[in-house]
Amino acid sequence: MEILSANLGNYPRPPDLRKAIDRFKRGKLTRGELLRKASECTVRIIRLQEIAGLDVITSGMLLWDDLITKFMEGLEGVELNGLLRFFDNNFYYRVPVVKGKLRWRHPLLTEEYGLAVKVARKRVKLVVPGPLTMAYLCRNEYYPKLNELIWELGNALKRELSYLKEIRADYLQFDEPILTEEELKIEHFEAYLEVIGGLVKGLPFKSIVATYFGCLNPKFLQALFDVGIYMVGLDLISCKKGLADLSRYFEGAKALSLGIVDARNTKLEDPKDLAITLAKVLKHIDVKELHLTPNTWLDYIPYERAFLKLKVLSEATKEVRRYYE
Amino acid sequence: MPTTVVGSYPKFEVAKEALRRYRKGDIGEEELDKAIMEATKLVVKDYLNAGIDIISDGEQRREDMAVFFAERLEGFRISGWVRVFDNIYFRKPVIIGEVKFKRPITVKDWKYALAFSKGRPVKGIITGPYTMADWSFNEYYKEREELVIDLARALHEEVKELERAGAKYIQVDEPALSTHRERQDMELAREALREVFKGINAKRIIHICYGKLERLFPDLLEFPVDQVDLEMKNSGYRLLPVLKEYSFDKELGLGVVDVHTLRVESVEEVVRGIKMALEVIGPEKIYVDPDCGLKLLPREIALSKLKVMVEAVRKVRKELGSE
Repeated sequence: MEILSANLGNYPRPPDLRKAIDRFKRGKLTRGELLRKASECTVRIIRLQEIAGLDVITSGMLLWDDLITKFMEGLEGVELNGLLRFFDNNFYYRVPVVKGKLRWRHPLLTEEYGLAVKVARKRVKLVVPGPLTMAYLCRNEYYPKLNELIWELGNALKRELSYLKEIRADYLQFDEPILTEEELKIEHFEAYLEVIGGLVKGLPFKSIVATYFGCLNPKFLQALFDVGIYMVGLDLISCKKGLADLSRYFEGAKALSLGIVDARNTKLEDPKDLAITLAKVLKHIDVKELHLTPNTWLDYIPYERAFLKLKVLSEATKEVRRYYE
Repeated sequence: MPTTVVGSYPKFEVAKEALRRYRKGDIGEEELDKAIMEATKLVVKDYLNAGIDIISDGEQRREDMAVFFAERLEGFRISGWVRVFDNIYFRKPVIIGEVKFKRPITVKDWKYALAFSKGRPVKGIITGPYTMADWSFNEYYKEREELVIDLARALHEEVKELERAGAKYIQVDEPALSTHRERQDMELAREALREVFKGINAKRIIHICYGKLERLFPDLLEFPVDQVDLEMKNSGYRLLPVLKEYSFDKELGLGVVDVHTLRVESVEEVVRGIKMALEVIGPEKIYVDPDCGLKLLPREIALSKLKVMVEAVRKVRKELGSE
């Protein structure tokens, strides 16, 4: 079993980029200047992840305002509305209101992700919002059924992925926090399985479906592997089930990504304690590849803390590897 | 059917500037107080101009609803900047020790507002213990329950101070409750509120907004409050059928203008919202207000929204024969 430390999603925006965005919004910086600044920060954040000791890094997604806006604002048929809380966080996203037929217009992520792959010295994971979570977070005023919206969002992602597949990254992750919500309807999950299965077919990446903020239904886990998902991500911090319950998740898993560092609290974990706990979990795991990650994006802690959290993660991963070997 | 506000109002420049200078150490407490009093006077002037019946101090001193209290209670330090949305960040509090009350937090500004209110009641407003716990990093307490109850005890002291000063309406803001996942969270919040309001003789209000508010029912009916103030406009009044289903019998703070959009609602639109609520609950139990605090809006928009709201209420009152 290969055990790797990986970032799950973004990295908090560095203070200088925050200032640059404010200046851009006040008209004191051109779009070109802002993008140059963002690229410079992306390179820096990639280096920080590498210095922290991660085996798999992300671009940091520094210009993303949240999980879905970056992608949704590029689509025709969508208007961005007021703010709503993002799951159980003191963090808000702009609600996309679907007013007409969705049309993907142009590539949104290729430049950012192309840069990440070009400069990274470690394996790179690309992150996209999952179609099911996007559909649930939209206010749908156009499609008669939510399943149709899930399909259309899948189609839009397919267009985006047709460009992203030219980028030589290692992993492609679909973020689906909605999969931990009790309100998720089974008919929507079934439609989603078809969509996600179709999306990952033939892609040159190892595919991941990441879930966080709660517990994933074990039945969903198996179904995801059955439609061709390579790895499924679980949030072991927010899902407060005991080890006995958790082991149900691992039966039949091919590859797993486990969120073990709390990215919603500043308190630093002890890498040794983490490794001891994980050693117990590992007894229940027999997968080809295991990623150890923060339990969610790093957006919920201050910029200065993110590096320390990733360092804890990479140290814990090294300890775990020692146990395992 | 009185009109009221949820709490915050756009910050006046005099308050912003004074807070900036105070933080840099350029001015002392006395000068800051003077500026806050001036800003509060302007807030109250706008409220009176709009015709609001039960006002607030506009929270001109509060940088953020969690940070403001964290900076004034024992047991906290303030962390680096954490994103709330887009490029907006706040300095999230960190709990590093036992939480305790130190000295009155909101009473001074409440008194400023009262002095300018021309006899209108001023709501005392605090951030609730559940939200304070949820919006802070907990690096000290092993059990969250213990933290929330300690916060409730500390905030109870503040509520007692407000009551002693003469506040007849005391509102506890619990926006974080709208995202709770477990039923136990509602039980914890209820117990905490019991602590906060223990022995308090004022109208007890809870404000909750932006999230899955339907999940609050039916547990919310058991909360020890007289009034539940809810954001309704932004979510298209979809909560009203839920209120009906559970025979909601507390007073309702009815949010009728969206505070996250610059578009000013029409009087007719607000009238429609109030009438929808009237189908579920009697006018004697409705307090009309915006969905939430107005601090994110430009002042002109905030004032226009309040004026529209008051005009709509007057229209409905007239139709009901009570104006």
